[in-house]
Amino acid sequence: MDNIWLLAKITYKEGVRNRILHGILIVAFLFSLFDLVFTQMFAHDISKVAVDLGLSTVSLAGLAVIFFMGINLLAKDFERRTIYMVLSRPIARWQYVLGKFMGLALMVGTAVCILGFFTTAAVKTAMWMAPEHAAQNFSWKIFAVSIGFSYLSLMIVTALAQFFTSITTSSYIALLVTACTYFIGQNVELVRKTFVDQQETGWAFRVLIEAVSWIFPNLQAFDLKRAAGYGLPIEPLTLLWVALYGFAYIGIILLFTVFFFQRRELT
Amino acid sequence: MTIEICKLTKKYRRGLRRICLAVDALDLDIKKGEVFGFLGPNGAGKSTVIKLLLDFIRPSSGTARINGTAAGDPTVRRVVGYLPENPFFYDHLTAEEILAFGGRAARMDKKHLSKCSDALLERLKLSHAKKQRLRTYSKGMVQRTGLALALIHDPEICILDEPMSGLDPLGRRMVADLIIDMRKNGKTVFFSSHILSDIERVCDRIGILNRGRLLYCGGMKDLPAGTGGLEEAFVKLIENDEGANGGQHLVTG
Repeated sequence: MDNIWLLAKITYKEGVRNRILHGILIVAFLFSLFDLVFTQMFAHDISKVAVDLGLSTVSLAGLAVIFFMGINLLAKDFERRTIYMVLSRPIARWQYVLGKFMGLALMVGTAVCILGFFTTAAVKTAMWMAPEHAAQNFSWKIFAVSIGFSYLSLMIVTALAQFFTSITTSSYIALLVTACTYFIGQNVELVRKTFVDQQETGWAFRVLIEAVSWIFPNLQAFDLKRAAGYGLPIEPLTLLWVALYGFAYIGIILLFTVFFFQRRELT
Repeated sequence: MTIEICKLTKKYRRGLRRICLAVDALDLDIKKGEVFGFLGPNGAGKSTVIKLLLDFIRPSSGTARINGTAAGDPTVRRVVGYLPENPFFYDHLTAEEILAFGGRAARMDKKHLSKCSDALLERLKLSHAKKQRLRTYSKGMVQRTGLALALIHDPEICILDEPMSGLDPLGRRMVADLIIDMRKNGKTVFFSSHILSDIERVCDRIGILNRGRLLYCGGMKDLPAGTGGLEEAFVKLIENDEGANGGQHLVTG
């Protein structure tokens, strides 16, 4: 555990000191300001718009952190051979995988906390400016849970990014494949519902869609924007299952990453 | 033996059918407390052997053992210090942080680590820049930081891949002195270099490698008679080998 924590620490430090991260956070801050201006253009559902925009900013900025920084940090280890500095110490390859993941999780977590703070401030201000348009049952608890689940979905994307970086030789390929997987993950549930439940769908296509929905993560399940915006109640048991699904998916992806990385030749 | 290499072979697949031999049934033993220089032209397989010793790549056949333990066991690296050929570090960390990482990974306690880190940075003339981010370092400073990282936990065995590359004459002198000091302290040093004068100055024994095969292994004074020094002997051995095996592809690694 010590080695994993050591590696997480240097990965985190390397990440948070990078100017790209600062740039992403500044853009996200500007988006939060824009959120305030934009919501004033609406006559109804102001809180819904503010929450929607705010949570979307958290997700998008979090994704930008993973795509532009996380993948870069991981790929640089292979491209510039900084991995030699790590693996020449008494650190096993599985510890490297977990340490890197933990460092990235901390980095994305820090970004999400800062973004969450901006978003909360923007939503609070929007509600203060037009309290009559706030959703009746709006709950800050659900709002916070929604940010938490956004973070969990970002962790799934991080684990996938690490997996693809470990099995490919180029950061561009890893970035492309991770982005494609994210896109599929966002839409897989919709496609499954559209085709699988229909009678006219052929069995082969149905099997294919079912298989794809098992392989790719269902990222839509982590999107609680609607519930947060309208103040809709959420079943705690549903949340628990979604969280378990998220942790299990991350665990399985990390296991695959360790399996392939153990066999990788670091030439 | 501190390092035992037995029939170590590394093949790389190039395309579907072609297989290139980077290291060919290498046998090599390095004793405790000796400074061993590993020589060879570019692409001879020196770095490949070092990467096999550190488990960065896996052998096609044969074994490599360090202190009697298989090189693939990560715990064996607790007693090993390694300097890569062109060391790269995380740009936004400082030399102090990198050394803290290296020391903690080798289970050094914080107080002792801080003392060792300061002393080593002082010796390698990096004290003034220890809190500076590594991306602001010159090539020579990065090389010296790499050396400091290799030595921070006072390893029994040092594996250095071209430790003199990128250093000015003063830096080379500093590294050579460090290697001589390590020998005095009973440490084992295994290093590759192209700079024959440095090899002559610090090594107890040398190994000359070409096309992944060991052409010579022994003391400087045991070199073939009439060759007139290391440089002559080196060139002759390589030329003879090239003559006998001309046309084969070299593999870098």
